Amino acid sequence: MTLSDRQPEPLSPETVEQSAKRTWFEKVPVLKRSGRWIKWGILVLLLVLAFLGPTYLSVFDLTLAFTLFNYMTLAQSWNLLGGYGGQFSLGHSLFVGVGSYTVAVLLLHTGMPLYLTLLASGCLASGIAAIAALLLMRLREVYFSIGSLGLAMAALTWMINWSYTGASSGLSLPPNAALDYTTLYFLSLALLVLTMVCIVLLVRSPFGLRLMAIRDDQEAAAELGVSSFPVKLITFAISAFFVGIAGALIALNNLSIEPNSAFSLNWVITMIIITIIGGIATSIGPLIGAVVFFTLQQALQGYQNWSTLLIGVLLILIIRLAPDGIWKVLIDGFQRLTEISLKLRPANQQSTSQREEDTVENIV
Amino acid sequence: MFFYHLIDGFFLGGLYVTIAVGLTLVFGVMNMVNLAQGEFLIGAAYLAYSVTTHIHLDPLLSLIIVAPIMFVIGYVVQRVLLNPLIKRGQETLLVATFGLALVAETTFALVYGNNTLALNAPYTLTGITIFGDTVRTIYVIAFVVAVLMVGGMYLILTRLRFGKSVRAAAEDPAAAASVGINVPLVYGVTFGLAAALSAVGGTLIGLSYGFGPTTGTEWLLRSFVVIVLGGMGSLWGALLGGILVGVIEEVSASFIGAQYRDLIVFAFLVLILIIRPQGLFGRKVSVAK
Repeated sequence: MTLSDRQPEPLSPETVEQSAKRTWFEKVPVLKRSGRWIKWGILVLLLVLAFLGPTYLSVFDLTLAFTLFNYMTLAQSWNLLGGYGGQFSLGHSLFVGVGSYTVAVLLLHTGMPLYLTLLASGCLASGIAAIAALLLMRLREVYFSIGSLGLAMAALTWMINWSYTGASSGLSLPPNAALDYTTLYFLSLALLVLTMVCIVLLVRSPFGLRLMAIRDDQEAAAELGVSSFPVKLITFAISAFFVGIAGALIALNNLSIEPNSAFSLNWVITMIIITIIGGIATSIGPLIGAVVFFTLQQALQGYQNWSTLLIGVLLILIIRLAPDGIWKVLIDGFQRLTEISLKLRPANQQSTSQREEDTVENIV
Repeated sequence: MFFYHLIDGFFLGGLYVTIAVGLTLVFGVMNMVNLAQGEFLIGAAYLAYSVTTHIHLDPLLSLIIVAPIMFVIGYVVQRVLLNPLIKRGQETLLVATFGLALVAETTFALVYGNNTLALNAPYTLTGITIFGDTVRTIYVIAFVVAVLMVGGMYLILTRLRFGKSVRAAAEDPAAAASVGINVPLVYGVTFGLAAALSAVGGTLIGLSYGFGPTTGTEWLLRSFVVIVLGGMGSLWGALLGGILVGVIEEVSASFIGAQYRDLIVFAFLVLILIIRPQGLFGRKVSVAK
């Protein structure tokens, strides 16, 4: 029932132990000792580069990076529910809108400090998600997708008519809410890092295992004593929390919001496209997907129809030919390259013969 | 007044039936949701627009040309893109049809521009008086067409040999294949048939409302409400669901206000899913826990 056949190959107890401890490139002698260090090295380097961003990026680049980071956060949050949780939500635009409007209303009507309003928008999105989950989480598969879509559309039409939030003309944020580009950049970066850390830790925790067990076979999980409802509800709420804060940041950047853009279906469409292109149910996939999606969008900026067409074709090609996304293709390609370059040495034959048993997901 | 809204809604419902039949047929047979259904409708409307401007046919008569084209498009899309993905489950099909919708939407914009178009015929702006209430002629036509479509599909599915293979493939693809039914062919033809039925709905939309490259989504959502209420995959459910949605929309809009039309419809969709996810006529499948 998930995007691809994720059933692991049957392994003997010994190989399970081995592959749990070691990722594939650690079995290649050259990379054996350095593998883990390379991995962390790249991560630290990227983080340092990102945090030093404002020192070498122009104002324009900073705003681009802001959007890119938000795409990554949105896609990763959707990926938690849609990928790891197998709940294909078509209603996540609801939480972008909730976040945007919460921050706007709080800044307009209360004297709450900015960072507290950000937290509040995440919490409200989360709360609404919990209520939505109470109603919708007993639905399965496409019924859940349609239900979440209906909810998001109902919310959009409600906001268009609600005079308290300015109906269809929306709200303008107070002038003192305007932040400079560097602050926005750091806020979006901090949110991305927070989202990544939370989700990566979450899916590797026992909770994450329960979540994926439910996705793969709810009945079997129930037999083992995993109750699906609370797990799905909590996942939905966590996913909405990050989306809500991202929505708030988007409102702070735009300074004026209106329902048709804040609650637009385009948000969830973007999240799904990015996640599928990059690699669903992987932690790095949404990041890669966001880079690809954003680059295409920027490169064909003046030709919006062509960029959408290209993205649509790319989506179809990915789902048809490489349903695990670009990240998996990159990993496989890199693995094959290392194999080819090491094949000539007889000492490494054992390591190459073992590769079938390895799971690639361990890499990060 | 209430009675007039009832009649209005009843015939508006006929239009909703015509747009939803294709969607419910595909779900009933292949157990997949076609997120590109709206684009099939709008695509047919664009085709009808091209045909009518070039050979000055009546839009409904142009269906003689448009429906077969849509059938071929549907058949090819199913065989080339969707059929190999069926074994990978519903989410994959959602993504694939969703990509298709994106591609179709932008193709419309590139070929026909972003303007709103409409199909014209002598009967688009006239009305017929029924029990003292004036109903748009096009809605009455749509209603008659809807009944014919559902009745025709019912006869095809129950009387024809092909219909029996469709039902067998819908019931159990593996068992159907083992008794010699070419399941991929049946799926392809069914999808093509659904696209051809959508051509009828799309042309009726073009005649009664305007359409642009992105209007497909609105009609997809309306179709969802109809088939969820009727029971996803049920033909008669689509007929009853369409009429009910039309009536509920008209009547409640007259009470609460026309600007809340969409809100009523979408809230209704969520409500049905919560209360009775299998709809009025739905098969007892495991839709809920």
